[in-house]
Amino acid sequence: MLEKVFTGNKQIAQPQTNASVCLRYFRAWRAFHCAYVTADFDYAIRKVFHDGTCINMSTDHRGADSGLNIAGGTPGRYIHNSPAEWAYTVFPFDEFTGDKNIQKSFSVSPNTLINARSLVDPAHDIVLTVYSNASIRAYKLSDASLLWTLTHNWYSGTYDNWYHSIHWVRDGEAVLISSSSGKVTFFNYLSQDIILKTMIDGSNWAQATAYDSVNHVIVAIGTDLKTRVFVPVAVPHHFDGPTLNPSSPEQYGHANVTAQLLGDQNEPCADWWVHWRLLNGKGWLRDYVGQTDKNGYVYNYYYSPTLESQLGSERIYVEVIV
Amino acid sequence: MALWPIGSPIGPMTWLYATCEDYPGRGLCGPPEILYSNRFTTGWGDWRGLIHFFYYRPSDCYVMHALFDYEPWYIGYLILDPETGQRRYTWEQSIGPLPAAIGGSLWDMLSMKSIEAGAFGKVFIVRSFFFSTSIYEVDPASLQYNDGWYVSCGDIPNYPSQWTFDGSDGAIVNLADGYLAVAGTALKKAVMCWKNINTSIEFLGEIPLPFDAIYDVAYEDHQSMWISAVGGYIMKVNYKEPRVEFLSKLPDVNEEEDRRYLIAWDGLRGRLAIFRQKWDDPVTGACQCTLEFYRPIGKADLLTDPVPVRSLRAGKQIPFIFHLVGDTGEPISPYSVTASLDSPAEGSLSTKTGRTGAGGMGTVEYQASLVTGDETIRLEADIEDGE
Repeated sequence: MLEKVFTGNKQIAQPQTNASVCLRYFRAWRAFHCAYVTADFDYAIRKVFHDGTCINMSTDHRGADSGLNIAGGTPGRYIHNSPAEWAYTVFPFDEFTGDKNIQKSFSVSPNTLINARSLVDPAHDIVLTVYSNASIRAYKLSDASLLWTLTHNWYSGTYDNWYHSIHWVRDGEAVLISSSSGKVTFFNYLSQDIILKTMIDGSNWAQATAYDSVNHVIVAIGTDLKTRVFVPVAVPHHFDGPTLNPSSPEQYGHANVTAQLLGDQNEPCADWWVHWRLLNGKGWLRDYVGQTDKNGYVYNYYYSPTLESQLGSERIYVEVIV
Repeated sequence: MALWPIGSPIGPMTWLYATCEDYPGRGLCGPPEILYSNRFTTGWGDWRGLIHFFYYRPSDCYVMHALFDYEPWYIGYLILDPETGQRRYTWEQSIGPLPAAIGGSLWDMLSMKSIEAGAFGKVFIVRSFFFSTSIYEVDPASLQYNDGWYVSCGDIPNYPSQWTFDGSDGAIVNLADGYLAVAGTALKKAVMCWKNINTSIEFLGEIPLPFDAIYDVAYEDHQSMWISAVGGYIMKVNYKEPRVEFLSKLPDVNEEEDRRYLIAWDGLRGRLAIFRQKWDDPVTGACQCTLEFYRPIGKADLLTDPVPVRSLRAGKQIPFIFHLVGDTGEPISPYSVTASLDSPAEGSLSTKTGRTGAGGMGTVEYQASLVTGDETIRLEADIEDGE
């Protein structure tokens, strides 16, 4: 579970339905582009800030065939696809209003490019799209040929529970976010490795989510229409270990002690101070304080007792203050 | 308030200066109240009224062309066709409307969808006549074709067909660099841009407009134009790229009282002139239109709450971001924002002043103490008032 650092106290204006919100981080704005159908069926462009401040930027939008279908893009390239034609068109998206004339025709199965479930990276000539409940597909932007399929096996639920959006994180890295379940997957789309599977707080938010690639936070708009900000840092949930190697050190012996601090989805928790102690006082530890590394591991060294009378079982205790 | 107002020397207006010497043949003269009655500003077609507004650099004046209907004459059951009148008003600096400083009689404004100044102060019109539309240079006095640049919209690649029938809302012609930008909202809501208009015209690109309707366009320079739209939105477009450079809003927009906003760019003084056309006073019938001037820069209106973007942990330095923007979200930068902590404070601010940068975003750094607790960060920006 990622750490929530902020809950807004401002409500953004009421959209019509959950499904019609498209939230995208626009780097030039340092804020979010929010396109949705308003209660009276107008299509609106709003600028949404992290704290929930919401600004109207138009009196009209080009309608369902455009604003709600903004694919993600690398910075400065905001790509929009139009489902009006069977062959989907992908082109740079002007952050205020729309596209330029540089068009790249791009044909894939239509339902794979809906809403924000796609991401375009022209530099790497790649289009990513949520293909099924268990996989992501990558196509070549230039000729629409299939590059690869990455299976994440994360969802077995209905279509509404699929990942709702893909957002650009940094060169080669993207994040998939499900607005309804809170599941988040960071992955590398060049090496096709999954970097981190995690969650954001699944309660009271389901409208839309986006990733701020400048400040590296996830912003979600909840069902209460308030923003929540999550940092990509997992909250510690449990330790894996500590384990000893060798597992039964002999008298005068010693052992490496290893523990891994993990979140509730087994995400590694880096950079946390932990405290060690021995519960029975048999033997010694080298360190009584340590700090987890980037994979959540913290290491110590255990020295066995030298007196025979001290032999027996010992428990090593490691704790972290969250 | 999003644009910097720099004065409204004329307004509310009266039409005392507006006589009709410029169009003597039609017998339109009458007492001034006729000219500012509702008949003046309401027409049968939405495009009628005070519709064409631009800054005319050679005479250093603002020029308005108006088209209006007279009330039908009733003689028994017989209704006589209302006549259409056309009129030019000009304003020199701050002295009020003058009749036809450019002079000359006006030619067939009924068919003109747009009259705008372009590069070198030349005046161009968009004319729809018998289902064909053309854009060409006219004599500024008579509005008749002056044997200059001419294009038939049928010969323009990608010209929206609906615009040929219904006309577009405005065209900007830059003959020096060979660019043409046409803004319209019928069928296609967009600014369409072309290049090489002096030789073989070539489609450059389109910028979709997120507005229900636009009111007017204005030429700024060899790359920029302005658009005024429903809701008081003001947009600056680079028609050479093409892309949008600036979106802002007029202050005190009142959709019920205001009829339309006409825009002109005063190239000599570097300011926007906005003709705010309002409905006439319902009781007295007095004209309530105003001419207003603005600097084309955003005015700070909103300071968002500081939001932490790193883990909130004891002993850590945590950046808090905020945005300072105008009321259309236009970034206000660079600008200083002062931060303070409510006392008693456990932690401290490592930066007490945040400076806004890209997108109007700024950062202040908070140094958390080793003690758990609640803190309140306050942000403050000093904004000067406009005139």
